[in-house]
Amino acid sequence: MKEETFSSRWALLVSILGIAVGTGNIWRFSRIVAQNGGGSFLIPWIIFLFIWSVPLIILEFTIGKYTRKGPVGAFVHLAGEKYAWMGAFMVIVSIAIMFYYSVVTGWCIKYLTAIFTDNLLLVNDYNLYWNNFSSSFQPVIFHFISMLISAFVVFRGVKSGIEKVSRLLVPSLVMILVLLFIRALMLPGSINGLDFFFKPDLKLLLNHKVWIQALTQNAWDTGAGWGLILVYAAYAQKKEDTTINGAIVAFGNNSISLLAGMTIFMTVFALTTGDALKEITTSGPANTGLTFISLPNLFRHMPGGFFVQNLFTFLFFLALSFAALTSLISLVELATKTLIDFGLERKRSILIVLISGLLLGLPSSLNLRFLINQDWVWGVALILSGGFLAFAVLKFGVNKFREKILNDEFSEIKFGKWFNYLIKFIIPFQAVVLLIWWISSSFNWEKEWYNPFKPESAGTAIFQWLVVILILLMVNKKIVSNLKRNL
Amino acid sequence: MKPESIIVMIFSLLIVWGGFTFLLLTALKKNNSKSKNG
Repeated sequence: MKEETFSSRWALLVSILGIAVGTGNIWRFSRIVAQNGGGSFLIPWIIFLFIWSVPLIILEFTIGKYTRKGPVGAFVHLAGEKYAWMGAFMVIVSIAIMFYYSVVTGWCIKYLTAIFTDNLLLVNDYNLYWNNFSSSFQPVIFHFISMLISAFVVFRGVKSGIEKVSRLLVPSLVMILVLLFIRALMLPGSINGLDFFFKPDLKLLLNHKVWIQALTQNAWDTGAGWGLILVYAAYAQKKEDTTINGAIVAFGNNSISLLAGMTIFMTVFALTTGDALKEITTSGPANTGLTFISLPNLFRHMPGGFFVQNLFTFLFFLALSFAALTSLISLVELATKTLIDFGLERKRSILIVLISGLLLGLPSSLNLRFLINQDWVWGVALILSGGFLAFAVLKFGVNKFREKILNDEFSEIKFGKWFNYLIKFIIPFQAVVLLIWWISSSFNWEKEWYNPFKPESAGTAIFQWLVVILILLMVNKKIVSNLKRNL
Repeated sequence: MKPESIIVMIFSLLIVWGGFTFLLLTALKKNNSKSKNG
């Protein structure tokens, strides 16, 4: 059977940008900038763009194009059969994220539709509105809608599904953000938001927490090291470059974060009558405070009347839904591609992914504590996935990887030996520091940090990872033999 | 806006947006030369 590929370089780029740009760029980025001193945060955030996001995205891009496999096949190819479990761990982490990310996508769609069904801007108490919604059966319905849309897109295939939808949604998302940015810029007092967003506090640059948060933001919102970019790159045309393309995705993702961040800061500072900074930094349940509680409340104070207020609220939640959907589609595709690598047909694979997604997303859609637990456990596990990816290249031989695969005949930039040091030392160092930091931080917010039944404890994260890793180690040989059967 | 905020704004936009634009233009140029060479 002829291998399906993206139709052009631009189609591939737009689709991969759709993976990287998610809700994290819009709601997490603004909150983290505000909590870490505005401009002081942006400086390390830009540095980590160069030493975490760009190299890891280029790695994923190159590995995907070279192996034409999902993470499990790619790990077997690069690191050897003994390490198939690492690729499988990467897949499990992304699938576990898919289960609750579909619920989060559902929330965005719910608020988008609420403008028409519930007159969102006429709601009196947004805290109460959110609580009523999240404790009802509605999140299940919207989780189902998100999963069904994503599975349908993946079912249509790479060209007619993923590519077509990304070509429509990603440019639309950027255009909507530009519109929201222009509107925010015209609001009286918005410049104060811009001032805070970029204001540097040099003392904060000496604070290690700001640096850790900047690295974390790069690790979580660019999609680097998740295995998703690897899967899309497996559908790249053979003549495709991976160096400039990888860098475009990383820079494009952070460009959108900047645009969204400026827009949110300007809007909040212009429209709030109280403490603007508090509005942005208030996390709320599952970090929903800014997006689902503060912003709808602020949009109704926008000058221009009811129509303009509704229009911009609609555009905001539309952008958020587009960002969430394109990322969810890539999570569904990763799970599907993995099953295809094990010999299943595409249609059957999608059906399995859809049914398991619908069922295993239920606990997160019905219980916010469960979602918070899963977000904590698998969010931090992504750092482990990024580290595993660098390990696979180390096992293959960084120099061999750079000379034979990365700097191939289609590569538009040839990387020098400095790339070896980046992969050998700098990426693993960052991954280890991040892991230790997040695990030890949980000692501060959770007294019973060792208790695996506390939603955000070190114990629950380590326990769940160990269970998955032990099972995968036990079935490693079976994974390899099943994979080989279908080579 | 305070001058120090303006400096960080120019620095951030120049690197992130400028970098993105530069990379896109480079890709476009390379693509054009590839298609010219067949």
